[in-house]
Amino acid sequence: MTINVPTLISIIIYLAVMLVIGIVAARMTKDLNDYVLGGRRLGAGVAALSAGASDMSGWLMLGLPGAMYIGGMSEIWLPIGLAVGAYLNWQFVAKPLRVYTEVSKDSITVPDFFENRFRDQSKILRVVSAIVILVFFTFYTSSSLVGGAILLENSFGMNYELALWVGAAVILSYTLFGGFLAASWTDFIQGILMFLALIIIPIVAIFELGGWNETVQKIGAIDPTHLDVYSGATTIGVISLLAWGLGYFGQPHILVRFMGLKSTKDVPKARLIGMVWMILSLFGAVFVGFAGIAYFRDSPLQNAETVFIMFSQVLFNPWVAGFLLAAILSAIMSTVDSQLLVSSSALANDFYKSLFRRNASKKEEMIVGRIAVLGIAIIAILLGYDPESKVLELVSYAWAGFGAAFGPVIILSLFWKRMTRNGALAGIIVGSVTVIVWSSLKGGLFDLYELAPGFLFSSLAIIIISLIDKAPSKEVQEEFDNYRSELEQA
Amino acid sequence: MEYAITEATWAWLMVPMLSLIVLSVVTYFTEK
Repeated sequence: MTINVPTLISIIIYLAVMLVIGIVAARMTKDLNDYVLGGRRLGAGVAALSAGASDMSGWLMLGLPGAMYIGGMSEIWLPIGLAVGAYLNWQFVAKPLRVYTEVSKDSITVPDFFENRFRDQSKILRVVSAIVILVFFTFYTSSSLVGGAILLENSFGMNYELALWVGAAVILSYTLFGGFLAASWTDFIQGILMFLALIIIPIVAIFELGGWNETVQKIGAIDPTHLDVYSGATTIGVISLLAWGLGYFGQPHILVRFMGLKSTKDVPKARLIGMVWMILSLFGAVFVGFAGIAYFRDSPLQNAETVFIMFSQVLFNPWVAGFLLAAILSAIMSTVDSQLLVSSSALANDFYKSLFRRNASKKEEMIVGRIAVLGIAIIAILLGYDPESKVLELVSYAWAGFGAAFGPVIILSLFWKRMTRNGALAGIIVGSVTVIVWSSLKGGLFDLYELAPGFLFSSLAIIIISLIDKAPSKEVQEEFDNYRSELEQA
Repeated sequence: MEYAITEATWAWLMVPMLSLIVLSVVTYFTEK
């Protein structure tokens, strides 16, 4: 398609707003603690939408509507699994993690928390968890950038390699200097854009089709199995899709939103805002794809994932189409910026500062943090350079990697006093190895999504190794009691 | 013939999602 001026202006306005937020945030970012965790000053609304928008990548606007367009209602298992997982994370992890990370030597990253929680003098827990973050996030970020580049290529006719660099440059324009606050505030705006777009499109599309009943009749006439959640469903397939929800407890880019909250008082409100945002957005995405089956019945789409984009072009004037395109960019950018910052913190805080330069000045820390963001972005771009590469397929792998390596460790460390450092280390290693091995095996039970066995074996490893181990030191146990009493006073 | 989304589909689509929203509202008031 040729790009028209109103659409381009809409996009430029959106990018300008992001840049202004980045500049304001940069002025409030004084040290590494601000850069990595925003000095723990997120309010309920920003934390809620930032957690949601960081979590929901371009998949929400492209992949999910595309899957619905192809498979109809049999594709709703994954959104159900995700919504349940996100709720449990808000209900059982948010408040305890916010309290414990501050009680435990004011930990600002996940590896930081693991080391301080178990008073690990050897640094091994910090190093292993930082390596897991760097490996899985570099691929995860790369796949998001590839998604953005394909979008720019298809929307603006931009050369693919150029689109990769342009997409990354736009994200870096506010993330590099504005850090966590810029990422969180832009996530808030991006989350609102995503939400509005996902509500508007299906309503207008169904209205255009002659109403809800008309839409259902047209879809039924094409293929009645599109109206049935069980069509084509297998037990192992349904369990695999629902199991995605297990991944939430170990995603560092979501967990840091809990850690960055101003107060645990904000959790109930943030949880409510976050869940309403997420569920309505998921419903919106589901019905975009569903309405697409009926709307494009006479000239089926070549690429199912373009169903949202096609709707934005055929249903709306160019100004609104520009806003809707900005909403897709928002979904991609809000995930990449948060992942880049977590990866940067693993390099700057967990390797550089903790291992080599314990007495680094604030200025030095900040420079290293920014170089790390830039370096990881460049590696992610280079990984995505070959458009035929399979980097897009690595998202489910990275999600499972974090979910299995960190999820059980996070949950048990918050609720089980007897857990030991060796238990945590065993959990991270067993979880990661299970995901890597399981995903390469095929057939029968091995077709199950690797996150489920990874989560289970990691949990078992933590429990067994901790029980064999001698009990944690008095210092660790006292700190656990302090954190629980502070949580109960809350 | 008249097509309709199956009842099981409506149940799977609405029950988990609405339960989560109700839970979020209830816990908002109990924990506020």
